[in-house]
Amino acid sequence: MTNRHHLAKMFKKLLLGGGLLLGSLVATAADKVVVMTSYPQEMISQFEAAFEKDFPQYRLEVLWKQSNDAFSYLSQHPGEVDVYWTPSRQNFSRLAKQGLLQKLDPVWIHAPASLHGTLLNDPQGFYAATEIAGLGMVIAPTALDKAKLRQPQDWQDLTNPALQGMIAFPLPTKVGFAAGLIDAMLRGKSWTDGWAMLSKIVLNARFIDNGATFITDEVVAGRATVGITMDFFAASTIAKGAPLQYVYPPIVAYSPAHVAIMQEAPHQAAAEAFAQFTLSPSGQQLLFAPDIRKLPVDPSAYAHKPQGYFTPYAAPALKDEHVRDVAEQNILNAFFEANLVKHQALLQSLFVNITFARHLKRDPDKINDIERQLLQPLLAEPALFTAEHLAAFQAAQPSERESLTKQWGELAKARYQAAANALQALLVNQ
Amino acid sequence: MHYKRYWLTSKTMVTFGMRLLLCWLFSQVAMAQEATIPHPPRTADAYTYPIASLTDTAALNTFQAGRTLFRQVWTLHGSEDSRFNGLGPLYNRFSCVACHPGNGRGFAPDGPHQSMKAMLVRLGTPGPQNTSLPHPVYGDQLNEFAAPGVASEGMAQIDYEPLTVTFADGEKILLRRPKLSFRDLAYGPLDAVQTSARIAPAVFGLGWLENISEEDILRQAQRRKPAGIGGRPNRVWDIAQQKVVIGKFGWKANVPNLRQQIASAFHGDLSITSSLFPHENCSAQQAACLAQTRKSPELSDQQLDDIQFYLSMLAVPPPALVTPEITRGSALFKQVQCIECHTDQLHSGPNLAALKQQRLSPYTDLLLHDMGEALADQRPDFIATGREWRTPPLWGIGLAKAVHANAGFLHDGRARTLQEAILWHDGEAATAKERFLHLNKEERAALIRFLESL
Repeated sequence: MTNRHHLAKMFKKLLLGGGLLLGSLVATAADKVVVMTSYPQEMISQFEAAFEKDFPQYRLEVLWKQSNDAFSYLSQHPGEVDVYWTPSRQNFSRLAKQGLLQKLDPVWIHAPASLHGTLLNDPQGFYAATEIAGLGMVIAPTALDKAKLRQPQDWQDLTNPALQGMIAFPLPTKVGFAAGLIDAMLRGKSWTDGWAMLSKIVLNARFIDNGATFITDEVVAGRATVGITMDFFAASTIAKGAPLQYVYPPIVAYSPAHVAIMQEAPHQAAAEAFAQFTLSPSGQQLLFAPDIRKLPVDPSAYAHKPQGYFTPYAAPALKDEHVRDVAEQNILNAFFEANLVKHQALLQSLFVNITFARHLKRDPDKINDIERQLLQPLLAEPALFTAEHLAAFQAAQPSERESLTKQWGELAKARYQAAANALQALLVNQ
Repeated sequence: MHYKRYWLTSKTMVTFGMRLLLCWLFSQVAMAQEATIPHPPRTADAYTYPIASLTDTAALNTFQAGRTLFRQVWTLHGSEDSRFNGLGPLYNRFSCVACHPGNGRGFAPDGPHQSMKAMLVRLGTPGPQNTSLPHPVYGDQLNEFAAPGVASEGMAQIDYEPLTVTFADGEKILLRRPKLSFRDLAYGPLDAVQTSARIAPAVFGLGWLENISEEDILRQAQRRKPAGIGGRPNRVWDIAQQKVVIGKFGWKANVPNLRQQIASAFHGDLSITSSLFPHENCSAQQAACLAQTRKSPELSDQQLDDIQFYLSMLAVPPPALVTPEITRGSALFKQVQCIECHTDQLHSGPNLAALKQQRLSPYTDLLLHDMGEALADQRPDFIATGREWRTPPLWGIGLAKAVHANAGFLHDGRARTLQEAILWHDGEAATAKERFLHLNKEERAALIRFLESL
């Protein structure tokens, strides 16, 4: 391993040395590397400039595809793309299963296998994590201070009724980066306690169904005081002077992004150079740039981090580091939406009336019972994550999962109806 | 509906609920008042804020929609999200922000080893009566990238030769004179071609510039100026109105209005068609490009409206707080004659309620001036000669490097600093440059400090 690493370093030095010696050595049409990605322009521009500087003999050509399009394009156009580099574990996993990726040289990889339960590199070696993004909270400290509200530090703090309407919450079924959010919120708690907490957060949430920077915009513009968003969205806004803070709760949902070389890469040497570059100290350091602000996967990169930069490897280990896989997260997110999000307005009304009933000093046992019912999950944990449900959520056709979510929605509606009736009896008939 | 009926049955409940609602609404109003969008702070994102009076929710939504389109990476045909399809077949970059990072200026490569990332090369061939016509094969712009299956047109590269300038007090400064060349040309040689390398300009304050009336521009042209300084408007073709009007946008004031400027950039840089530019920019000799053309327009009128609104409403950052050095620099700016063309005395016209009838200090007269041989591209553009350039606005220019560290100055980004930019001035600005050369070190620093305060 050491020898291979040494050889790889020598190879890079030779490439670089050759570039410097020849002076005017620049890329020709044959010396390009075609990279498919869905990264934003700012990140591409930084990597393009730095890669070009380190490897002047190669020209970076980007084929930009959303993750939804990328898989079919890559499988239908072998021999067109050299490198796939993007945040989409699902695509990498599918491409590897179909034999469309090459194995990476393990000497390039400096990241550990996992981070607090989140798998980073492919155990088979077909793709490697290049960066990590964390999902936490962006807050407006001044607005919170003026409203005399404590700054939230944990997901549990978002249940504070004083935050009603002030939490910009990305819909996990619609906003890609929030796919692991509900799983992270529930982690470390019992299923029932976790669900009760989620229900109370929903009472306060303003759901946002388009992602990217919109959550941060909500907080910058003062329409929310807390926004649940990826660290890099908020960090670049903060780095540019916005008076916001980013809070990493004790349980962060981490999303790794990966790099892989296509099996039929038409520009093999250039492909290797680019993939290696993303994992190299140069590539990892670029992630600290104010326009990027991602978390390097190489722990040694943090030795040169900007002041105050979050280090995920320094966060204490958790007692529950089991992260659900993508299929289970999809079930959980659909269940969350059908059960709570779709009925948010009604839930809010019910809780207003529970407060009202307490104000009128109605039977506390009955009130508590209604409240307990409302905060309970519709299904026990084992009944949700069944083989049948997993199959429905992994199927190509949406009909089965649509039917399931409809069914869950109706169950929820019936429960809320029953609670409404019970509250009516309590308020009107006594 | 069933629930709604139920909740209205109890009067007390409604009253209590209303109180809660009022408390909540009150807190929301209080929050909203604090949340009024600030005037752009002088930070790295200073060019991204809407004008202060844009507070209406619907208008802000349109602003955000335009911003999304401006930041969006556009995709080749066949992508699932068809709203952003249409890139190529031949193109330069795949988003607006690639060339306008942070809504700011582009920059030039530092040498032939770097590709053009925020600039492009306009092409032309000599036409009748000192005009320039598009190159018969490559068109009016070199497209360095192409969709799979289409050959990109080639690569432009810039080398520099050093040029030393000496101030009257003996201090020397090294400028870099660009030399453009091409390689990997896929569609034959580019001999005897007219070229004009241009970095992308900053995109804030454009609504104000658009709203300056033709009369005001003509007044600038007719204003008495010191000997040797003239200035005339460019007369360009307005596609929508189908008539010749005064040009306001582009390095040679070669575009009449913001809408046409946007559509032109989408067409030339991303090869995205619109109602103003309905045909892909493939020439007859580019068969593979023609074979990949798709239904036009690729950019809808609604999308064009949204981007136009966004760019119209981007605020101009306020100047920095005045210091004695800035005051001194401002006086020198007038004394040296910079103010003759970079004027701070314009007014917005009657259009666009949010921007109308206000005194403006854009530090431009929007006129063409002969800037001398060293800056000439020898590529005429409508009535602008190869030596003429539009006075670029200077407002907000002091933040250019904060927005993007590599931001370049002058049309081809050859100037790395404001001082270098001044020293390239010639032609009608020869006297101004000569006066600047004779300022002492402190005076030069004060003048630059003034520019940095804008």
